[in-house]
Amino acid sequence: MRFEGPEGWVAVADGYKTPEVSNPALLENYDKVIKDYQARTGRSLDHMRNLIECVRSRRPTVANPEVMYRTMTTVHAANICMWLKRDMKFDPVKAEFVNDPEANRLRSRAMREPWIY
Amino acid sequence: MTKTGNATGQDAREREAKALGILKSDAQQKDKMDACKELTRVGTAASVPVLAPLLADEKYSHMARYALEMIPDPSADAALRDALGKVKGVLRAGVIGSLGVRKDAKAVEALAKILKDPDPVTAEAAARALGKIGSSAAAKAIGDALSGVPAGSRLNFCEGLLRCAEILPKAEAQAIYDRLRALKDAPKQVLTAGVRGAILTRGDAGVAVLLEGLVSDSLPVVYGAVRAAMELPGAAATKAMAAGLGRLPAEKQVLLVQALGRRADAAAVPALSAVAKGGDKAVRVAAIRALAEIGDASAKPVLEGLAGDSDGDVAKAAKESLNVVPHK
Repeated sequence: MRFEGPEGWVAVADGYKTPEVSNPALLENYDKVIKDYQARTGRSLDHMRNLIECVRSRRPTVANPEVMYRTMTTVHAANICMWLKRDMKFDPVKAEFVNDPEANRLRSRAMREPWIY
Repeated sequence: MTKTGNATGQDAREREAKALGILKSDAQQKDKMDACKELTRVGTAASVPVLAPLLADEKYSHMARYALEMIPDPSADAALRDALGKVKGVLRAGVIGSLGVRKDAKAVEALAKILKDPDPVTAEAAARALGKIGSSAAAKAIGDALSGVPAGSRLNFCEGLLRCAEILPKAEAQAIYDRLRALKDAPKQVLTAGVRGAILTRGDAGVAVLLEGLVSDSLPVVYGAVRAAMELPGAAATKAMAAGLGRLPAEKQVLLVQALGRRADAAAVPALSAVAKGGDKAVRVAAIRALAEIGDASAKPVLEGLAGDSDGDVAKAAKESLNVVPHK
């Protein structure tokens, strides 16, 4: 996933030890940010370790359902944008496209019977 | 991508007419399926009479539901309700699911009867669909049927009730959660969800249920209480939980301390500071980590004192927490 902003871009994905960046200066405080995050949250940066820790603590994992819902909503919205070949505005609170009924009709599809989820 | 626009007006009507022409022709199966997909995007009431007969066709039933689920016209609901008496087996389960997706309140009576269907796949689909509809009538139908449900189908009926509880007003939701947490031989996840909901729907008064849950011998009950401890809003709830810490055994204190950290509410700082200063080591370290997670400057003096603690693990946790707690 790549984030673009006024100071450049940052790209991350599973398996990245550090993010890829348009300018190394963007990583200047990387070690401190990570260290502070771990001290503040007590969380590991390793998903498997985090899972085991959360089994014990009952706390949500880093990649918990809410986080992943938000993440995948972004991806699906971009996908629908690609299918329809046009720019669209997405309201994350209502989880719907703004004034775009055609796009909104692509947000879900009929489950093959008797699919359970 | 800079193109803007929407499928409305003349363009959409032309696309719908073309797709309907394909469905009425002797076109290949793939082309007819693609036509159904197109109707997902542009179908109107005009498409319903063409799609409805396909619901009973094994080859096209699923794709017909693709389109019917998205057509913004009550005639699509009527077509799906009508199909309940015409289609059988898994195709019927699919139609039932689509009525749930459309939240068709007019289908509740028919779906309630299907809850007693001898085919478990069909009965379970009805329970889930009623849950998505989520009305008082839907919840009553599932609730009335619950006691006679075979053990293998019970989870689906409970899921239906839980979905209703998410939608219904608090009083009705609370009654559902209380029934599910008291259900004999309830599936574990249902018990956890019932306890969580029973606490959250009570607001501040739910703290009593929460503390009662934390001391339970049943792990699903404990898990529901911990989860609710993270979610129950407000400083009053934080203070009530913090006040209850002393009533818990050490291993349960750790869970509540971690939940208080997760809440990130400074109202817990005095209680967590007291716990961090002495007692069970695991609780102390958890409290120090929780103070860091809350991140309130009022914890700094306590953490500074603990950084020199004679226990190395306590001192290490305090030093690490100091790095992230801001100055006043």
